[in-house]
Amino acid sequence: MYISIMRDTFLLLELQKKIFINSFKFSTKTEKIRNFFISFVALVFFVSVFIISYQVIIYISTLPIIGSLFTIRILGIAFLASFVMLIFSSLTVSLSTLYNIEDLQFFCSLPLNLSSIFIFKFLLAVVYSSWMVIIILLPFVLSFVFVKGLSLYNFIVIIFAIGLKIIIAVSIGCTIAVVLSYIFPTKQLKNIVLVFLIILTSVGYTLFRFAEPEELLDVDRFNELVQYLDFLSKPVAQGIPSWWVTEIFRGFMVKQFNVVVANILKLSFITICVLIVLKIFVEKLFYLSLFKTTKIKSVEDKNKNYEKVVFKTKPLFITVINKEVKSLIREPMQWVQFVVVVALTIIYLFNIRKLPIQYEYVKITVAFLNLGGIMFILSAIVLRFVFVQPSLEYKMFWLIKSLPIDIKKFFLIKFFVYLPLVLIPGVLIVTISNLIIGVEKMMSVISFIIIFLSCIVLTISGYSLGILFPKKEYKDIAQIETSFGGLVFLLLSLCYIILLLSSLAEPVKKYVMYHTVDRFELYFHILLFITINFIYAFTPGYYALKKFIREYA
Amino acid sequence: MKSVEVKNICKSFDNKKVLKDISFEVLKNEIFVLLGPNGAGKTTTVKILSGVLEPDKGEVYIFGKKVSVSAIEVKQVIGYLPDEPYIYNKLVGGEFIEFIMGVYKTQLDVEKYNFLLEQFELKEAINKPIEMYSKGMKQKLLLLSIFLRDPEVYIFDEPLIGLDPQSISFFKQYVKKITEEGKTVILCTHILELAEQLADKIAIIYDGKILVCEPKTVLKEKFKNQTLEKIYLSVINNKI
Repeated sequence: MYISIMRDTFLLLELQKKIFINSFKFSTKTEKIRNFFISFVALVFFVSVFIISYQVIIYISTLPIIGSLFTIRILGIAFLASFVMLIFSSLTVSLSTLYNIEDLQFFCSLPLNLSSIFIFKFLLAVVYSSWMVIIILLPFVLSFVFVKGLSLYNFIVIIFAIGLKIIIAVSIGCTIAVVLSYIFPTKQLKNIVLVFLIILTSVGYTLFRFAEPEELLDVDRFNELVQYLDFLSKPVAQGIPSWWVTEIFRGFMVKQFNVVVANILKLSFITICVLIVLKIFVEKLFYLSLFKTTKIKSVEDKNKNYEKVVFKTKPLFITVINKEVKSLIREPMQWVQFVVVVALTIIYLFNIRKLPIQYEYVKITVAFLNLGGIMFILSAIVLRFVFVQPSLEYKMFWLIKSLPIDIKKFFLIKFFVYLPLVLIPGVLIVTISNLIIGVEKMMSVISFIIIFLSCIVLTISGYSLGILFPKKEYKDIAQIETSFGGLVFLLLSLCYIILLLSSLAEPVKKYVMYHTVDRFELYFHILLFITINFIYAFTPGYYALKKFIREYA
Repeated sequence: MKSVEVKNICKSFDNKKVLKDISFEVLKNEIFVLLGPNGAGKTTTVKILSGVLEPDKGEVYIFGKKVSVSAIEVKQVIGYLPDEPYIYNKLVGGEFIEFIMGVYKTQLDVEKYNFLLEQFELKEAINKPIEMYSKGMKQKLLLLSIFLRDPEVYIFDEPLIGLDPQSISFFKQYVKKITEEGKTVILCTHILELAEQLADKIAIIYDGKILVCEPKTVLKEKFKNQTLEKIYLSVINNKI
């Protein structure tokens, strides 16, 4: 029986391998360029993390007395954070991978051993939920290995330990997903879990920031150095597998191989236990939860009975807005992202409040740079709420194109629906942050105008780039945000913000230094500012409209 | 009277020619059936007719008006059902109808609405979100939204997919009735039986070219009263 399970699992893995290879082999020229670009960005990210970590660890290692303790503590925090991230990501990934009804129906119709389907899906969940964490963690670990001069053999053992840690974390996430699916057999479960995790993470991160963790690194807070050293040498979450990986690292560093062996054994034992639980208990529960009836929560409008109602024709603008607003409100993954935005904004404003601003010139400089920060938050809002729209609506564009509506008018209505989602937070953040900084009235008005304009520009470019780079197939909105188009939007927005600030930097500098700016020079910079805004809004807009008319159907 | 006129349309996707100089005419009171194997260009043709896609070359006229020039005016008189009917899942069925009526600026004929709801057995479902609908129910909802508007030209791409036998029977009766009332119906299908029962004129498209475009009676005469299946296979195999 075990041989047949293994054979079937390998067959399914072979199928997945072919799907993966073919996605590159038969990709179009555009897709090849896209893949190359994404690989390049990933490589740049990998190398950057490695270089920064390398420099930081070298610096920390040279600190007298606390150097090695501090290094271990950072490692412990990194492994703990990645362990928690893995549990969370595997929980959501498992809900979509294990319960992907399309391939499940197909696999269940084949003469395959049911266990092999579960094992295959679990392995997929391991890959899907860990690749991102690995890309972030690997250069960090590599830099530690280089700085501490560990051997290749040490590195292989550490990678093996990290692999075990990943399996344990994904097994925990997978178990929670299956248990939840069994208790709450609803198709909306994934959304509910995601909403819960987003709220939890946002609130947790905000509270963490309010706790001012940087104060903990302030030696002066401790009465004696011994107390500080004691604090540093305490393990980070001792009973958790992430600490065992840290201990293996420490074992190699201080050449205590018994520590390494003991922790490898601990990790291996727990991994085996977790896999046994998965095979015996979770797999059974998975199939039981699959055959439970699924429910969708109805969003019936109790005030209206469409069986009897007599519709009154409303103006086109109202009709389309009505549809847009209803679709937006009923997509929980859309509005819950407001929580993330609110958390980010609160933290941003908190950080501004913590800045030591006393002098007038510092106030103006901070207020000016603050514009860049706000625009970046606005880009994140546009990415979450505006950029994703064309992909969400992609399959319904046939309907829009078959309707007797002027496409330009339709886009204009869309713009008016989504602009407030960007404008309201933008105006609020700029007003509050200027109040915190305490800038003079004129600078406040100028920043208000700049943010107002950039809200309009970012909304237009976000929607247009969403049309130019749609994600046609996706499992959740996060996949649209992290798609190639999302990356392009963020990079272009970053360039836009830098160019915009550069165009205004010279007059601001002169105003700070001399409190006067040459009139012609000012006109030139305003013209430059308007041109940058115009280009970033209308270039993607023009091509998006062209593509929409020519291609979408 | 000509209601639809297609003149020399060409369309390519990624340098692949999908339609190669297609021309045909459809009259009022006529059911025009477009037949052809998979990938022949049927769906692309009806997408161009309904204004969803633009041709690279050529022109489509609906009641003498160029689709490329008067797109909005033309779309007002067309009812189009695609082969893959994706609709807004988060809307309630009734809200979708309300949206369609609003966009087409059409007043609701309550009697007809209730009649169609009953015929398509959507009375209960109309108050439920579309994400709860099966594929067939979505198809029925779209058909309901089109029939309710009563356009001049109906364009259906594989309309029977997912429909239950009662709805298929109702669809056939309704299509016959509306053509008698002076409407034009363009139908794209693989179901030869449906074409046999409904078609007034048949066009067979193959590799982006129209091989045959004749009234059904003329076609039958030409092929000595053979069944449509035999006619179709003969045309496709010999590429007449």
